[in-house]
Amino acid sequence: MGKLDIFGGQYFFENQAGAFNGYGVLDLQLAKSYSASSGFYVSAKSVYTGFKQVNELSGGGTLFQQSLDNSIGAKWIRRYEGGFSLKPRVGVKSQLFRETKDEKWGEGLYDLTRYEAGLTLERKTRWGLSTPWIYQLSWDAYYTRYARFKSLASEYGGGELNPPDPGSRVLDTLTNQFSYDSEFDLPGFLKADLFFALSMVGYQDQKVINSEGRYLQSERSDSYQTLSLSLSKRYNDINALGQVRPVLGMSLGLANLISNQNHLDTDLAHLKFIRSFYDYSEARLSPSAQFTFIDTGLILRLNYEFALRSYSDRLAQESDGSYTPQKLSQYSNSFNVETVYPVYRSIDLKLQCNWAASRSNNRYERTYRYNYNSSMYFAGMEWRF
Amino acid sequence: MKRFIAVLMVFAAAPCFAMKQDIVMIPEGFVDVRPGQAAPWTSVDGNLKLAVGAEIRTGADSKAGVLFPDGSRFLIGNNSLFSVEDTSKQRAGFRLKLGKLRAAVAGYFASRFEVRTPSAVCAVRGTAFDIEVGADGNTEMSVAEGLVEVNDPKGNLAVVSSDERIHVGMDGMSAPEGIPLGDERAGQAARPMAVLQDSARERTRTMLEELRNRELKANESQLGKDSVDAFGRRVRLEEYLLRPSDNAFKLLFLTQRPAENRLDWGHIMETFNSKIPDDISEVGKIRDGMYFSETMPSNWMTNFEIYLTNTVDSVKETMDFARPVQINFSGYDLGTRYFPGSIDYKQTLSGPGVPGGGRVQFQQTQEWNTATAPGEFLWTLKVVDQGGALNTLEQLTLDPANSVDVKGDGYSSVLVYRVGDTYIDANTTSSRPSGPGMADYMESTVYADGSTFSSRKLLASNEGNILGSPAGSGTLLKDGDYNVEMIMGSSLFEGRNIDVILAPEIILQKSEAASQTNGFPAP
Repeated sequence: MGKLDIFGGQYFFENQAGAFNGYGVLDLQLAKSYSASSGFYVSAKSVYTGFKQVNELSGGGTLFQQSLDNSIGAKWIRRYEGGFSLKPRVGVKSQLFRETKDEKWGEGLYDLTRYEAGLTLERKTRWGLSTPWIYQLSWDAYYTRYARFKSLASEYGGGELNPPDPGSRVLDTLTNQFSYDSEFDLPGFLKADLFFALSMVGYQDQKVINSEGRYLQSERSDSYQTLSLSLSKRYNDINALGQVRPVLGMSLGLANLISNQNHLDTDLAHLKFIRSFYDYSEARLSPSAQFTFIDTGLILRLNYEFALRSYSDRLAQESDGSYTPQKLSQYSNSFNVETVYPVYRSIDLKLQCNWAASRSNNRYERTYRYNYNSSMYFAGMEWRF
Repeated sequence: MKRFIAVLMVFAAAPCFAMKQDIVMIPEGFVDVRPGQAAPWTSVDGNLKLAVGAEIRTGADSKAGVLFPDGSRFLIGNNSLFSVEDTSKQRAGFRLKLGKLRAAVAGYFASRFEVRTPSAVCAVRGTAFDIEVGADGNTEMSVAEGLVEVNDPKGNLAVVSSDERIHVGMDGMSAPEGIPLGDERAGQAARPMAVLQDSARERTRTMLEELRNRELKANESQLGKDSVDAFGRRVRLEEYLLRPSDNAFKLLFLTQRPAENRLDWGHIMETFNSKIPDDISEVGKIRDGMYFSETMPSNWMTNFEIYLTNTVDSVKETMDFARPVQINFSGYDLGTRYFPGSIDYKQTLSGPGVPGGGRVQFQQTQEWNTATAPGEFLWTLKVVDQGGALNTLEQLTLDPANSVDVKGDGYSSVLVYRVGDTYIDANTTSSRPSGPGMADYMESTVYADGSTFSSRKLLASNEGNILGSPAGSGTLLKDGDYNVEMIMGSSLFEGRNIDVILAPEIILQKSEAASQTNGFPAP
């Protein structure tokens, strides 16, 4: 089984419009059961994106971007009496980028290969008499290698007596992620989901910098925690417009990142050492609604998200780069509308629109935008098979 | 069952359009139907549209299918008794009084879809399930896929999910339990719906790593390490603060254009007379105190160096500062102040094409109280002459205590003046390669020996667009969001150039340091 999505669309960043471009997804899954106890499935996915995602626009304004993702994975399913399952998996993903006019496919600076492995213990049980409950305990490991990204310092041969040694492959990481997921199917068409993950990200070759600008022997390591709770409820059909079925949802997410990496701003106009530069806390609140128009088959999805991120030690800067005493914070509002119209059996027409606004107390935007409005639309079709 | 679920999935994915509420029965074997409880049973052998109140009775080795316009379907087993209670859009109700029913419900026929038995009410979400009702009214239900909400006569409620079964008797329900894996009703391990759900959960977990990868990339931009130059090429930038000794610091800046596999780099280095603070941001105060200080500075800069290279050719500009001395600046209306005893500013080109591998291209010196000009400043400008040697182009003196000299023509006397002398004078022109009004400024000098040197400065946005020229600015520096790209070329570089992106502050500091050597002291 699988699906094929083909879309065309355009984005707008502040007052600039990107070129009309395409987006395509081919998602395939091949499943084989040997019995009720065992089976496996193989997944393959290719995604071509001809433009930047909204959440990437801020880094580099309206930089041209094309990306091509290819991934393949396999998962073994072994079920045991009592609702227990064990699900080991492996996978690999390649992500290629073309982001400037002088980059060719396969030569992108941020091209990456990610190797994945994981093991999930699942239990299907009940929460009291009334409610089915599935929980999963998972360990996932991701080794991400940026084939062409090395620190410039590692390629510099300036003959310094004590050359800077920030590490060479400074973006390569090994992540060990432990997660817990609980799903409840409550009476009254109410679904609840609780998800917690602890990710320990070990940078393979990124040295920690100290206040004197010296690189220590210890490598950067981050700890990322996220907790999310989401609820959705299907309500009775509304007797209007030929019967409309509403599903309302609400999602709350909390996250924080703790890193041992610091930052020394070497700009001579505002030299500054900032300890725990990457540490932040984040909250997201996202109400959503879906309306299915029974007579026509039209589905309308609306989603709003408010997100707030506060850095615990990073300072906000004025437009000239000078530091303020305030800690950097950023909040964003985004609104998504999606319509799906079934035209023939398993073929749908889709239209997706997004509007987003980001605001921050950081006014220094020479290389990265913290305050912006953006929007995008794309339209196309989906074929499920 | 597998085929049954597959059919369900197709219809569960999308509702039908403009549905009528007609349901049709397809009999197989001995099937009786009556329009209501009061009516007599009639045997049927062809398709029949069912209305509210209709009852179906199947005999031994017989069954009946019921098709709904949204793709939902019932399969009524042998020896069963089934009736239609309601088919409105708000509620579809059916009753299984006896026997077996296998159902695949797409969920779009009505807002609420229920199957009642003598002991249970089963409200259906998009589901495939089996119900069996015994003669005693007890109900056994098992769910193959989806969810069924079951109520018993005592008011208990349980949501039963896939691979679960429940027994509902006239005295209430038992707790739902999993279907044993050996049971024929147990679903396959990798059945489509289970795979879809599992894939969705896996995507949630993997999305965290995806977001981290995106954030790593964004961090490079946030820290100004990833940009686009004025010619649309990706540029990576790194800066490092080094402390070669406790009285010096060096800022190393690296510029790489990955697609060209090209690395340009440079450094700015400041050396002081004695130890400087660990916090380099304090160094600006020492620098400011070097000129026109009323008291002898406790520390001062002894050397300033800016070095740029494409790893083959290089340009080095150095300024050496002598110990500040007490000078009478009464001509400046300042009285006695401390000022560097001499400032020596040199530009040196190096590379395989440069004669001797390296040479000083020009030199400016400002010296106090020399044998040539005792009690005065002596300013000397030397450039490369036709023979390629450094030669004096201009030499002036200034008495800082003489206000007529300082405020008049700005110098006391001219010792050497060879401007216009073709053997030694250089010719400098300026241009704006991107057109007038654009922040793209180039200065080119042709020296008497035919060698050239050019310096081009561009202000570009982060997207690589060349900005408009700031009004009234000859330095191309202004507040705002921009990068400074500096391209240096020379006929001695054999067609290569040096192309770096710098922090504006580096240009400013160089300009400030050089401003004291461009002529006589300027308070």
